[in-house]
Amino acid sequence: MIALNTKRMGQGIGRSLAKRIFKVYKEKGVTHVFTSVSWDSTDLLSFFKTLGFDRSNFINLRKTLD
Amino acid sequence: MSKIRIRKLKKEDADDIRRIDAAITKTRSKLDFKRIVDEAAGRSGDESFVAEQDGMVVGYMISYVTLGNFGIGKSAWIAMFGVDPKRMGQGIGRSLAKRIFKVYKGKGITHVFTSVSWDSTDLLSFFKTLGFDRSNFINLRKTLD
Repeated sequence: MIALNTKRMGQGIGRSLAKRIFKVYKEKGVTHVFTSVSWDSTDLLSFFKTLGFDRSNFINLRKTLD
Repeated sequence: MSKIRIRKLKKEDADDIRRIDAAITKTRSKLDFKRIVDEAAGRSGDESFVAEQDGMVVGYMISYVTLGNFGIGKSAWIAMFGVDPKRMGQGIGRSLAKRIFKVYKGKGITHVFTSVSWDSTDLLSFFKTLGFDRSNFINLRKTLD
């Protein structure tokens, strides 16, 4: 999960949070970070793209329990 | 065909899960199965099961509940799944999945998600027969370098 106060967007807060997470995981020997974003959340996709994320080889599947 | 028994994952199942994973991937995984199984078996609210046949663990399915991930609300994720290749085709994976669906449905969860590599066609087919479809989510990856 990631969320920001909309009034504070554009100040690098999300980037700072992400950078800290990357640093901590790198120190722990983690080499890859994954996330999932809805295809129409274009702002979020752009955000992750600027952080160096790219499309993975994984396909997200969903089942409705009915 | 011997009867399949589905039971809750226990911490003691780590070695069996490592054995099944090695049989599937034909490699010795670097994953810390002891830690993965310890955590999965110890989390309350999350549901993970193994399948037994002839007194042996022959399959496993590890899942967890996520709360509010990017606006999708409370949902379940199947994180790890495997069936001993020698026992495939007997409905073991299906039995594990059905149990997980039943338990989560009983808890009021309406959606189950998973991620599968695009070229794992057997796995994609398996999830398709269980009623999974492509979600609106795109999986993204970053290499930490």
